[in-house]
Amino acid sequence: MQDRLLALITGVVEELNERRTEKIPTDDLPGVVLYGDEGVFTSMHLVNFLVRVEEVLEDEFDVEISLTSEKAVSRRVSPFSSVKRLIGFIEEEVRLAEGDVDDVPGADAVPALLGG
Amino acid sequence: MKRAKVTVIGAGPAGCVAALTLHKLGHEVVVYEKGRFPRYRVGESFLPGTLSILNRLGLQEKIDAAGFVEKPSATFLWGQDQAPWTFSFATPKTAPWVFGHAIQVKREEFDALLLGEVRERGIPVFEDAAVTDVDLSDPDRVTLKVLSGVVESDYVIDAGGSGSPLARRLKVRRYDEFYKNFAVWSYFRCKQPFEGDLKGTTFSITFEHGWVWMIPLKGDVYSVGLVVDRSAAAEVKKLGPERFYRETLAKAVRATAILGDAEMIDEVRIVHDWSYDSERFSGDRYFLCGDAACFTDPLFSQGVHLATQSAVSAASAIDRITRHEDERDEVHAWYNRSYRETYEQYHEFLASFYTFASFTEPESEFWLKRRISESDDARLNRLKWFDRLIQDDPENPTASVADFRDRASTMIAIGRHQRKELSDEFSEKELNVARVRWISDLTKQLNRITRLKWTGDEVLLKPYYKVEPLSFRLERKQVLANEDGLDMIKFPVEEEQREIFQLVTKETVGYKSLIKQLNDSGKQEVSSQIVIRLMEAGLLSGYDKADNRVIIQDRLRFDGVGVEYEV
Repeated sequence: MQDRLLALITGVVEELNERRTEKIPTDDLPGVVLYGDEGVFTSMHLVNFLVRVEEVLEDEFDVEISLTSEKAVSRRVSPFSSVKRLIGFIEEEVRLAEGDVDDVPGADAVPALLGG
Repeated sequence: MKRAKVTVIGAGPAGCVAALTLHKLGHEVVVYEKGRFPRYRVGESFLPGTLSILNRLGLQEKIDAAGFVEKPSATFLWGQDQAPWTFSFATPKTAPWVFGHAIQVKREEFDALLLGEVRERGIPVFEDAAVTDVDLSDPDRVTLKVLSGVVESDYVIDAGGSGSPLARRLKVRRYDEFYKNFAVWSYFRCKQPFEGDLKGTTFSITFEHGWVWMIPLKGDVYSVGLVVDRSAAAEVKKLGPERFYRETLAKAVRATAILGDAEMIDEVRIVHDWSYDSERFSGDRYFLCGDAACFTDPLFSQGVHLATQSAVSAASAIDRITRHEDERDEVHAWYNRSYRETYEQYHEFLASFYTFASFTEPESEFWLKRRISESDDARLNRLKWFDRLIQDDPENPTASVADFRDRASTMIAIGRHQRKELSDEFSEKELNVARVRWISDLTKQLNRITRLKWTGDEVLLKPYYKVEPLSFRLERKQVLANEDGLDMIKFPVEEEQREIFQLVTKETVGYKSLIKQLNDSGKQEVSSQIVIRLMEAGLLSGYDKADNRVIIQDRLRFDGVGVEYEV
């Protein structure tokens, strides 16, 4: 699942990179900080990015995932602090939406496959 | 390539940046300065956009070598009993010329650095050379009286500051009835009190009779200024500037707490005639730039940015007209409109913050005069932003005078500190929670929109201009408009995007679907911004499943911060 999600997000980032002068590095995308200190997006860029990610998730999994839910916003560690965290959050949400509740990692868990 | 001969009046930041830009664009330029450098000026706190312009003009090494204080933010103790809030400049470096900080400078040093660069590039500069008259009567040239002689050129840029000879001659200056302040200031020997994320920040601190600026400069010096109502002039006369300054500053206890027992090391200075604009900023063969054109209250440190941005715009406009004589009227229309919109953005932004503070400070003369609470406020009747505010929109009750203070509240909430007092424990990271929540709320609001409505029947492309960030050439672009002349000038578009919006007039299109189409058309970096700006321009509105209007709150913004500089 995590590899699949990483591939989807890589696709979205590559689309954005087509128009950026300073490219978002994709060689270690999980470690990329999305927003805040050292983040690659401004507030409005993040809005665009989240809408685009929600769209590709719907296409891929046929489920509607909100990346701006209260659950996402109230996380102790923001899902937007890194791509790794975002993937962890999406994985939980996709599994919940698919009814695969037993496999949902705990809140704020770091996806093991993506490293540290 | 055709070259223009341009005379620049004034060697401050506007004059120097205009000269450097014209020189880069291949034109012949001469600068006349009435004074002799180095000379004293106030206006020491900058915005990141100014650094961006200087970077692109090739001055980065000199700026770095000068060791100016790095300014990461502006911090406000704004309103009695309010927690501090910080407007951080931090932003991703989406291009080499995007900056997440500004600088604080001693203007005599900074201005001399710019003028030195002008000279090094071979541009003639004459000091002690006041321009005493400008003759615009000949349609083919401009004639200036200077140094007891006459100078002719194709164009003149008046960057001569508030004493602009051209603004005076043209009688275009209009003083502002809302910001009738004056400032009294001096300098203190004072080490910066914070080492963390507040290091380098400008403090703006309200008190009963106005507000105080505190700007850290090189060499452990703080510039400390009081902005008070002009009616205090009588008291200044009675007490003398220094006693008035000391006694009034003592009332601003949150400022004096930062200063501690710091020693005042300079004389007390005063400036008034605080805010003005011009009926027009350019025409025929002249351009007004910087303080020659307009000046607004200094709360957001925008003065030098308005100066340098207008200087680049004037230079690129002259370049465009020289190469495309037939576009003269359109280029002037662009210069006037873009300058006025920038000026008005600051004006609106400032008014909202004054209004906010006026409800928290004691009801003194200063704060009562700076509150906007009536729709028939004659002081603001020529300002477009105020016209928009007082237009009745039954579907959008938040766009009203009564809710104007909430505009500032929203922005303040995003930057509010977690502690009530200033502290070295403050970290810009703590602001992320509120910012993410704001982003989330905005995204949710946008996602609610299942039907978009275009105002009018036609989606048109209208010619406009943009300054290319690296070449500084003014390029012809197209923006979206309708048949009634409403337009959105921030983001240029092409026929492909026009067709997308034309569909909105014929079919039911929701926000997500629109964004997908805009993304597919190559606008993935700015798709949401385009939609929001169209809503602000009144060209687009959104409705939810129940057909209720979805209101996207107008965001307070101004040029010179973020990643999308206007020049």
